Amino acid sequence: MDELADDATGLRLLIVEDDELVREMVVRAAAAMGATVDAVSGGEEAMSRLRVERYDIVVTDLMMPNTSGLEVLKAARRCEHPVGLVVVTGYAERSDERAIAELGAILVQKPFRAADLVTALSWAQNQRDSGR
Amino acid sequence: MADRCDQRSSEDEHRTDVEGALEGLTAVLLAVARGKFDVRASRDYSGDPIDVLSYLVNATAEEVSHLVEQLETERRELQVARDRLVQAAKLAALGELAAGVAHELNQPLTAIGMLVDLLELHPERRVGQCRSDLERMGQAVRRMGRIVDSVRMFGRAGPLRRSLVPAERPLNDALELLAKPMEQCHIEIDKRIGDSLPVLHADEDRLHQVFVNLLTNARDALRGVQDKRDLRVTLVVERSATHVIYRVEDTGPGVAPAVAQRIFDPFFTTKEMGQGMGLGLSLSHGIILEHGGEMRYQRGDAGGAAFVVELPIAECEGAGGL
Repeated sequence: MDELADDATGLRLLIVEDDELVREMVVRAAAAMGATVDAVSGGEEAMSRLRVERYDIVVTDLMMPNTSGLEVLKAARRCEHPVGLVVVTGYAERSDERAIAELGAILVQKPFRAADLVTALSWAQNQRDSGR
Repeated sequence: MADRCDQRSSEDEHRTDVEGALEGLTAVLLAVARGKFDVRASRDYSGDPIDVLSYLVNATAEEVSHLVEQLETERRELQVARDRLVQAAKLAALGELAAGVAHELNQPLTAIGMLVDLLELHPERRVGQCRSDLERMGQAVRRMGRIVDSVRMFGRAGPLRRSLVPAERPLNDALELLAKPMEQCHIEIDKRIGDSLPVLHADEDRLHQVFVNLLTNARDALRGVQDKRDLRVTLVVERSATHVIYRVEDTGPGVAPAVAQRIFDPFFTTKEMGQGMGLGLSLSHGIILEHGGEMRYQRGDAGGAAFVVELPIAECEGAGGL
Protein backbone atom coordinates (compact mmCIF):
# COMPACT_ATOMS: atom_id res chain seq x y z
CA MET A 1 0.00 0.00 0.00
CA ASP A 2 1.61 3.25 -1.08
CA GLU A 3 -0.85 5.49 0.68
CA LEU A 4 -3.98 5.29 2.75
CA ALA A 5 -7.10 6.81 1.20
CA ASP A 6 -7.43 10.37 2.51
CA ASP A 7 -11.22 10.46 2.60
CA ALA A 8 -11.19 11.10 6.32
CA THR A 9 -9.79 14.61 6.07
CA GLY A 10 -11.65 16.92 8.40
CA LEU A 11 -13.47 14.14 10.22
CA ARG A 12 -13.34 13.92 14.00
CA LEU A 13 -12.82 10.39 15.28
CA LEU A 14 -13.04 8.86 18.74
CA ILE A 15 -11.03 5.66 19.13
CA VAL A 16 -11.90 3.42 22.11
CA GLU A 17 -9.47 0.53 22.58
CA ASP A 18 -7.98 -0.90 25.76
CA ASP A 19 -4.97 -2.51 24.07
CA GLU A 20 -2.33 0.20 23.97
CA LEU A 21 -0.49 -1.03 20.89
CA VAL A 22 -3.64 -1.60 18.82
CA ARG A 23 -4.99 1.80 19.92
CA GLU A 24 -1.82 3.53 18.79
CA MET A 25 -1.94 1.78 15.40
CA VAL A 26 -5.57 2.74 14.77
CA VAL A 27 -4.83 6.33 15.79
CA ARG A 28 -1.85 6.52 13.43
CA ALA A 29 -3.73 4.97 10.50
CA ALA A 30 -6.71 7.31 11.00
CA ALA A 31 -4.37 10.29 11.31
CA ALA A 32 -2.62 9.19 8.10
CA MET A 33 -6.05 9.39 6.44
CA GLY A 34 -6.31 13.01 7.54
CA ALA A 35 -8.72 12.56 10.44
CA THR A 36 -8.49 14.42 13.75
CA VAL A 37 -8.33 11.73 16.40
CA ASP A 38 -9.05 11.41 20.11
CA ALA A 39 -8.22 8.11 21.75
CA VAL A 40 -9.29 6.63 25.09
CA SER A 41 -8.65 3.27 26.72
CA GLY A 42 -12.06 2.51 28.23
CA GLY A 43 -15.82 2.78 27.79
CA GLU A 44 -16.45 5.09 30.75
CA GLU A 45 -14.04 7.68 29.42
CA ALA A 46 -15.49 7.34 25.92
CA MET A 47 -18.99 8.01 27.22
CA SER A 48 -17.94 11.16 29.07
CA ARG A 49 -16.15 12.39 25.89
CA LEU A 50 -19.29 11.74 23.87
CA ARG A 51 -21.29 13.96 26.25
CA VAL A 52 -19.09 17.01 25.64
CA GLU A 53 -17.40 16.52 22.26
CA ARG A 54 -18.85 16.14 18.81
CA TYR A 55 -17.46 13.20 16.82
CA ASP A 56 -18.23 12.10 13.28
CA ILE A 57 -17.15 8.49 13.74
CA VAL A 58 -16.59 6.30 16.80
CA VAL A 59 -14.30 3.28 16.48
CA THR A 60 -14.59 1.00 19.50
CA ASP A 61 -13.34 -2.32 20.77
CA LEU A 62 -16.07 -4.63 22.09
CA MET A 63 -14.57 -6.43 25.06
CA MET A 64 -13.19 -3.95 27.53
CA PRO A 65 -13.04 -3.97 31.31
CA ASN A 66 -16.00 -2.35 33.12
CA THR A 67 -17.93 -0.89 30.19
CA SER A 68 -18.44 -2.84 26.98
CA GLY A 69 -18.19 -1.43 23.46
CA LEU A 70 -21.96 -1.95 23.09
CA GLU A 71 -22.56 0.65 25.80
CA VAL A 72 -20.33 3.06 23.90
CA LEU A 73 -22.32 2.44 20.69
CA LYS A 74 -25.60 3.09 22.50
CA ALA A 75 -24.21 6.31 24.01
CA ALA A 76 -23.07 7.43 20.54
CA ARG A 77 -26.55 6.72 19.17
CA ARG A 78 -28.01 8.98 21.86
CA CYS A 79 -26.01 11.95 20.49
CA GLU A 80 -28.14 14.57 18.74
CA HIS A 81 -26.03 14.53 15.59
CA PRO A 82 -25.46 11.47 13.38
CA VAL A 83 -22.37 9.38 14.22
CA GLY A 84 -20.81 6.64 12.09
CA LEU A 85 -19.99 3.53 14.15
CA VAL A 86 -17.21 0.98 13.73
CA VAL A 87 -16.58 -1.98 16.06
CA VAL A 88 -13.17 -3.67 16.02
CA THR A 89 -13.04 -6.94 17.92
CA GLY A 90 -11.10 -10.16 18.26
CA TYR A 91 -14.13 -12.11 19.35
CA ALA A 92 -17.86 -11.45 19.12
CA GLU A 93 -20.69 -13.70 20.27
CA ARG A 94 -23.65 -14.14 17.91
CA SER A 95 -25.79 -12.01 20.23
CA ASP A 96 -23.18 -9.22 20.06
CA GLU A 97 -23.16 -9.39 16.27
CA ARG A 98 -26.93 -8.92 16.23
CA ALA A 99 -26.75 -5.99 18.66
CA ILE A 100 -23.98 -4.37 16.58
CA ALA A 101 -26.06 -4.68 13.41
CA GLU A 102 -29.16 -3.32 15.15
CA LEU A 103 -27.20 -0.26 16.31
CA GLY A 104 -26.14 0.31 12.70
CA ALA A 105 -22.43 -0.28 13.29
CA ILE A 106 -19.98 -2.09 11.02
CA LEU A 107 -17.97 -4.96 12.50
CA VAL A 108 -14.27 -5.35 11.71
CA GLN A 109 -12.70 -8.58 12.98
CA LYS A 110 -9.17 -8.59 14.39
CA PRO A 111 -6.63 -9.11 13.06
CA PHE A 112 -7.37 -6.39 10.53
CA ARG A 113 -5.10 -4.38 8.24
CA ALA A 114 -5.05 -0.70 7.43
CA ALA A 115 -7.06 -1.30 4.21
CA ASP A 116 -9.88 -2.89 6.25
CA LEU A 117 -9.94 0.17 8.48
CA VAL A 118 -10.06 2.46 5.43
CA THR A 119 -13.07 0.53 4.09
CA ALA A 120 -14.84 0.57 7.46
CA LEU A 121 -14.25 4.29 8.00
CA SER A 122 -15.51 5.06 4.52
CA TRP A 123 -18.62 2.96 5.20
CA ALA A 124 -19.18 4.70 8.55
CA GLN A 125 -18.74 8.10 6.91
CA ASN A 126 -21.42 7.30 4.30
CA GLN A 127 -23.68 6.07 7.05
CA ARG A 128 -23.20 9.30 9.00
CA ASP A 129 -23.80 11.37 5.87
CA SER A 130 -27.01 9.49 5.18
CA GLY A 131 -28.10 10.90 8.53
CA ARG A 132 -28.54 7.81 10.62
CA MET B 1 29.56 -93.59 79.12
CA ALA B 2 30.29 -94.01 75.46
CA ASP B 3 26.55 -94.14 74.76
CA ARG B 4 25.95 -90.92 76.62
CA CYS B 5 28.76 -89.31 74.64
CA ASP B 6 27.24 -90.47 71.36
CA GLN B 7 23.81 -89.20 72.44
CA ARG B 8 25.23 -85.75 73.29
CA SER B 9 27.06 -85.53 69.96
CA SER B 10 23.88 -86.48 68.07
CA GLU B 11 21.89 -83.84 70.00
CA ASP B 12 24.59 -81.27 69.16
CA GLU B 13 24.43 -82.24 65.54
CA HIS B 14 20.65 -81.94 65.51
CA ARG B 15 20.85 -78.50 67.16
CA THR B 16 23.39 -77.38 64.57
CA ASP B 17 21.08 -78.63 61.79
CA VAL B 18 18.10 -76.79 63.26
CA GLU B 19 20.15 -73.61 63.74
CA GLY B 20 21.38 -73.87 60.14
CA ALA B 21 17.85 -74.39 58.83
CA LEU B 22 16.51 -71.46 60.90
CA GLU B 23 19.28 -69.23 59.57
CA GLY B 24 18.29 -70.23 56.03
CA LEU B 25 14.63 -69.49 56.72
CA THR B 26 15.49 -66.16 58.37
CA ALA B 27 17.55 -65.20 55.30
CA VAL B 28 14.57 -65.91 53.01
CA LEU B 29 12.16 -63.91 55.17
CA LEU B 30 14.64 -61.02 55.53
CA ALA B 31 15.09 -60.94 51.73
CA VAL B 32 11.30 -60.86 51.24
CA ALA B 33 11.03 -58.05 53.79
CA ARG B 34 13.64 -56.11 51.77
CA GLY B 35 11.77 -56.66 48.53
CA LYS B 36 14.02 -59.43 47.16
CA PHE B 37 12.02 -62.43 46.15
CA ASP B 38 14.56 -64.75 44.52
CA VAL B 39 16.08 -66.25 47.73
CA ARG B 40 14.90 -69.76 48.75
CA ALA B 41 15.60 -71.97 51.76
CA SER B 42 17.33 -75.27 51.00
CA ARG B 43 15.35 -78.42 51.73
CA ASP B 44 16.26 -82.06 52.44
CA TYR B 45 12.79 -83.34 51.43
CA SER B 46 12.71 -85.49 54.62
CA GLY B 47 9.22 -84.29 55.48
CA ASP B 48 10.34 -83.42 59.02
CA PRO B 49 8.95 -80.22 60.61
CA ILE B 50 11.95 -78.12 59.49
CA ASP B 51 11.59 -79.35 55.91
CA VAL B 52 7.83 -78.62 55.96
CA LEU B 53 8.53 -75.16 57.38
CA SER B 54 11.10 -74.53 54.65
CA TYR B 55 8.55 -75.61 52.04
CA LEU B 56 5.94 -73.20 53.48
CA VAL B 57 8.38 -70.25 53.66
CA ASN B 58 9.52 -70.87 50.06
CA ALA B 59 5.90 -71.11 48.88
CA THR B 60 5.06 -67.85 50.70
CA ALA B 61 8.06 -66.07 49.12
CA GLU B 62 6.93 -67.39 45.72
CA GLU B 63 3.36 -66.16 46.25
CA VAL B 64 4.47 -62.72 47.54
CA SER B 65 6.80 -62.40 44.55
CA HIS B 66 3.94 -63.22 42.19
CA LEU B 67 1.56 -60.75 43.90
CA VAL B 68 4.13 -57.93 43.92
CA GLU B 69 4.80 -58.48 40.22
CA GLN B 70 1.07 -58.39 39.50
CA LEU B 71 0.69 -55.23 41.60
CA GLU B 72 3.56 -53.58 39.74
CA THR B 73 1.97 -54.39 36.35
CA GLU B 74 -1.36 -53.00 37.50
CA ARG B 75 0.31 -49.88 38.91
CA ARG B 76 2.06 -49.32 35.57
CA GLU B 77 -1.20 -49.77 33.65
CA LEU B 78 -2.97 -47.41 36.04
CA GLN B 79 -0.25 -44.79 35.59
CA VAL B 80 -0.57 -45.03 31.79
CA ALA B 81 -4.36 -44.70 32.05
CA ARG B 82 -3.99 -41.74 34.42
CA ASP B 83 -1.51 -40.00 32.11
CA ARG B 84 -3.94 -40.48 29.21
CA LEU B 85 -6.76 -39.06 31.30
CA VAL B 86 -4.64 -36.07 32.31
CA GLN B 87 -3.91 -35.46 28.64
CA ALA B 88 -7.57 -35.82 27.59
CA ALA B 89 -8.68 -33.41 30.31
CA LYS B 90 -5.98 -30.94 29.33
CA LEU B 91 -7.00 -31.02 25.69
CA ALA B 92 -10.66 -30.57 26.61
CA ALA B 93 -9.73 -27.58 28.78
CA LEU B 94 -7.58 -26.21 25.96
CA GLY B 95 -10.59 -26.34 23.65
CA GLU B 96 -12.52 -24.25 26.16
CA LEU B 97 -9.65 -21.75 26.26
CA ALA B 98 -9.38 -21.52 22.47
CA ALA B 99 -11.56 -18.43 22.03
CA GLY B 100 -9.60 -16.51 24.63
CA VAL B 101 -6.28 -17.57 23.13
CA ALA B 102 -7.45 -16.52 19.64
CA HIS B 103 -8.47 -13.13 21.02
CA GLU B 104 -5.14 -12.72 22.78
CA LEU B 105 -3.17 -13.54 19.63
CA ASN B 106 -5.35 -11.27 17.50
CA GLN B 107 -4.28 -8.13 19.38
CA PRO B 108 -0.53 -8.29 18.67
CA LEU B 109 -1.28 -9.70 15.21
CA THR B 110 -3.42 -6.62 14.44
CA ALA B 111 -0.64 -4.37 15.70
CA ILE B 112 1.98 -6.10 13.52
CA GLY B 113 -0.22 -5.97 10.39
CA MET B 114 -0.98 -2.29 10.93
CA LEU B 115 2.69 -1.49 11.60
CA VAL B 116 3.63 -3.13 8.29
CA ASP B 117 0.99 -1.02 6.50
CA LEU B 118 2.17 2.17 8.21
CA LEU B 119 5.82 1.43 7.39
CA GLU B 120 4.87 0.86 3.76
CA LEU B 121 3.49 4.39 3.63
CA HIS B 122 7.08 5.62 3.79
CA PRO B 123 9.18 3.34 1.56
CA GLU B 124 11.92 5.97 1.46
CA ARG B 125 12.70 5.57 5.17
CA ARG B 126 15.80 3.69 6.22
CA VAL B 127 15.72 0.95 8.87
CA GLY B 128 17.31 3.28 11.42
CA GLN B 129 14.41 5.69 11.07
CA CYS B 130 11.89 2.94 11.76
CA ARG B 131 13.58 1.71 14.90
CA SER B 132 10.73 2.46 17.32
CA ASP B 133 8.18 0.73 15.06
CA LEU B 134 10.45 -2.28 14.68
CA GLU B 135 10.82 -2.37 18.43
CA ARG B 136 7.01 -2.36 18.76
CA MET B 137 6.82 -5.26 16.32
CA GLY B 138 9.39 -7.08 18.44
CA GLN B 139 7.24 -6.47 21.53
CA ALA B 140 4.16 -7.81 19.76
CA VAL B 141 6.05 -10.90 18.60
CA ARG B 142 7.36 -11.52 22.12
CA ARG B 143 3.83 -11.19 23.49
CA MET B 144 2.59 -13.77 20.98
CA GLY B 145 5.50 -15.99 21.91
CA ARG B 146 4.52 -15.88 25.59
CA ILE B 147 0.93 -16.84 24.76
CA VAL B 148 2.04 -19.69 22.51
CA ASP B 149 4.49 -20.89 25.20
CA SER B 150 1.75 -20.88 27.76
CA VAL B 151 -0.55 -22.94 25.51
CA ARG B 152 2.26 -25.36 24.72
CA MET B 153 3.15 -25.74 28.38
CA PHE B 154 -0.47 -26.56 29.15
CA GLY B 155 -0.85 -29.11 26.37
CA ARG B 156 2.44 -30.93 26.95
CA ALA B 157 2.21 -34.60 27.92
CA GLY B 158 4.79 -36.53 29.87
CA PRO B 159 5.92 -37.92 33.21
CA LEU B 160 6.54 -35.77 36.30
CA ARG B 161 9.69 -33.68 35.73
CA ARG B 162 10.85 -31.58 38.62
CA SER B 163 13.11 -28.56 38.47
CA LEU B 164 13.63 -25.44 40.55
CA VAL B 165 10.71 -23.11 39.87
CA PRO B 166 10.16 -19.59 41.29
CA ALA B 167 6.95 -19.93 43.31
CA GLU B 168 4.96 -17.19 41.58
CA ARG B 169 5.79 -18.24 38.00
CA PRO B 170 3.20 -21.02 37.39
CA LEU B 171 0.44 -18.68 38.59
CA ASN B 172 1.68 -15.75 36.49
CA ASP B 173 1.93 -17.98 33.41
CA ALA B 174 -1.62 -19.24 33.95
CA LEU B 175 -2.77 -15.61 34.18
CA GLU B 176 -1.14 -15.02 30.80
CA LEU B 177 -3.82 -17.34 29.36
CA LEU B 178 -6.75 -16.32 31.53
CA ALA B 179 -6.36 -12.59 32.24
CA LYS B 180 -8.00 -11.48 29.01
CA PRO B 181 -10.92 -13.95 29.04
CA MET B 182 -11.59 -12.84 32.63
CA GLU B 183 -11.43 -9.20 31.67
CA GLN B 184 -13.94 -9.93 28.92
CA CYS B 185 -16.31 -11.24 31.57
CA HIS B 186 -15.73 -7.97 33.50
CA ILE B 187 -13.88 -9.83 36.25
CA GLU B 188 -11.42 -7.81 38.30
CA ILE B 189 -8.20 -9.59 39.28
CA ASP B 190 -6.82 -8.65 42.69
CA LYS B 191 -3.28 -10.04 42.78
CA ARG B 192 -1.38 -10.04 46.06
CA ILE B 193 1.94 -11.75 45.57
CA GLY B 194 4.32 -11.58 48.52
CA ASP B 195 7.91 -10.35 48.28
CA SER B 196 10.95 -12.65 48.18
CA LEU B 197 9.02 -15.83 47.51
CA PRO B 198 11.10 -19.01 47.54
CA VAL B 199 11.63 -21.61 44.83
CA LEU B 200 9.84 -24.93 44.60
CA HIS B 201 11.22 -28.25 43.44
CA ALA B 202 8.32 -28.95 41.15
CA ASP B 203 7.02 -29.87 37.72
CA GLU B 204 6.29 -26.43 36.35
CA ASP B 205 3.99 -27.66 33.55
CA ARG B 206 1.77 -29.48 36.00
CA LEU B 207 1.55 -26.58 38.47
CA HIS B 208 0.70 -24.33 35.53
CA GLN B 209 -2.11 -26.76 34.72
CA VAL B 210 -3.39 -26.56 38.32
CA PHE B 211 -3.61 -22.76 38.21
CA VAL B 212 -5.18 -22.71 34.75
CA ASN B 213 -7.84 -25.06 36.17
CA LEU B 214 -8.43 -22.96 39.28
CA LEU B 215 -8.63 -19.70 37.31
CA THR B 216 -10.94 -21.27 34.70
CA ASN B 217 -13.23 -22.50 37.48
CA ALA B 218 -13.26 -19.06 39.11
CA ARG B 219 -14.14 -17.44 35.78
CA ASP B 220 -16.89 -19.98 35.12
CA ALA B 221 -18.31 -19.47 38.62
CA LEU B 222 -18.45 -15.70 38.07
CA ARG B 223 -19.82 -15.92 34.54
CA GLY B 224 -23.21 -17.02 35.82
CA VAL B 225 -23.52 -14.22 38.41
CA GLN B 226 -26.33 -11.79 37.54
CA ASP B 227 -25.09 -8.83 39.59
CA LYS B 228 -22.02 -7.69 37.68
CA ARG B 229 -20.90 -5.12 40.26
CA ASP B 230 -18.48 -7.23 42.25
CA LEU B 231 -16.94 -9.87 40.02
CA ARG B 232 -13.54 -10.40 41.52
CA VAL B 233 -10.86 -13.07 41.75
CA THR B 234 -8.33 -12.60 44.52
CA LEU B 235 -4.97 -14.32 44.14
CA VAL B 236 -2.72 -14.49 47.18
CA VAL B 237 0.73 -16.05 47.30
CA GLU B 238 2.65 -16.03 50.58
CA ARG B 239 5.16 -18.20 52.39
CA SER B 240 5.43 -19.87 55.75
CA ALA B 241 8.66 -21.35 57.13
CA THR B 242 8.21 -24.55 55.14
CA HIS B 243 5.56 -23.94 52.48
CA VAL B 244 4.33 -21.59 49.78
CA ILE B 245 0.61 -20.95 50.22
CA TYR B 246 -1.57 -19.98 47.28
CA ARG B 247 -5.17 -18.87 47.60
CA VAL B 248 -7.51 -18.45 44.63
CA GLU B 249 -10.79 -16.92 45.76
CA ASP B 250 -13.78 -15.70 43.78
CA THR B 251 -16.88 -13.68 44.62
CA GLY B 252 -19.17 -16.23 42.93
CA PRO B 253 -21.96 -18.22 44.57
CA GLY B 254 -19.56 -20.63 46.34
CA VAL B 255 -20.08 -24.35 46.68
CA ALA B 256 -22.89 -26.04 48.62
CA PRO B 257 -21.60 -28.21 51.52
CA ALA B 258 -22.84 -31.44 49.87
CA VAL B 259 -21.00 -30.53 46.68
CA ALA B 260 -17.88 -29.41 48.58
CA GLN B 261 -17.47 -32.96 49.92
CA ARG B 262 -17.25 -34.37 46.41
CA ILE B 263 -15.45 -31.49 44.77
CA PHE B 264 -12.17 -33.39 44.25
CA ASP B 265 -13.86 -36.57 42.99
CA PRO B 266 -13.05 -37.47 39.38
CA PHE B 267 -15.83 -36.79 36.85
CA PHE B 268 -17.79 -34.80 39.42
CA THR B 269 -18.97 -31.55 37.85
CA THR B 270 -21.67 -28.97 38.45
CA LYS B 271 -21.10 -27.49 35.00
CA GLU B 272 -23.51 -28.11 32.16
CA MET B 273 -22.94 -30.88 29.62
CA GLY B 274 -20.09 -29.92 27.30
CA GLN B 275 -18.71 -27.34 29.74
CA GLY B 276 -16.16 -29.59 31.37
CA MET B 277 -15.29 -33.20 32.09
CA GLY B 278 -15.25 -32.83 35.85
CA LEU B 279 -11.59 -33.79 35.99
CA GLY B 280 -9.96 -30.40 36.56
CA LEU B 281 -10.09 -30.32 40.34
CA SER B 282 -9.50 -34.03 40.75
CA LEU B 283 -6.37 -33.89 38.60
CA SER B 284 -5.19 -30.67 40.23
CA HIS B 285 -5.61 -32.29 43.63
CA GLY B 286 -3.62 -35.31 42.41
CA ILE B 287 -0.84 -33.07 41.08
CA ILE B 288 -0.53 -31.19 44.38
CA LEU B 289 -0.42 -34.46 46.35
CA GLU B 290 2.23 -35.74 43.93
CA HIS B 291 4.33 -32.72 44.96
CA GLY B 292 3.94 -33.53 48.66
CA GLY B 293 1.55 -30.60 49.05
CA GLU B 294 -2.05 -30.11 50.05
CA MET B 295 -5.09 -28.65 48.33
CA ARG B 296 -8.37 -27.84 50.01
CA TYR B 297 -11.61 -26.00 49.49
CA GLN B 298 -12.79 -23.27 51.82
CA ARG B 299 -15.71 -20.93 51.82
CA GLY B 300 -14.38 -17.51 50.74
CA ASP B 301 -14.65 -14.36 52.85
CA ALA B 302 -17.30 -12.97 50.48
CA GLY B 303 -19.21 -16.27 50.36
CA GLY B 304 -17.57 -17.46 47.13
CA ALA B 305 -15.23 -20.38 46.59
CA ALA B 306 -11.64 -20.33 47.83
CA PHE B 307 -9.05 -22.94 46.94
CA VAL B 308 -5.90 -23.15 49.02
CA VAL B 309 -2.79 -24.87 47.69
CA GLU B 310 0.22 -25.48 49.92
CA LEU B 311 3.49 -26.65 48.41
CA PRO B 312 6.71 -27.48 50.25
CA ILE B 313 9.65 -25.14 49.64
CA ALA B 314 12.64 -26.75 47.88
CA GLU B 315 15.13 -28.10 50.40
CA CYS B 316 18.09 -26.22 48.90
CA GLU B 317 16.19 -22.98 49.45
CA GLY B 318 17.58 -20.63 52.08
CA ALA B 319 15.78 -17.65 53.55
CA GLY B 320 15.82 -15.60 50.36
CA GLY B 321 15.10 -16.35 46.71
CA LEU B 322 17.16 -18.38 44.24
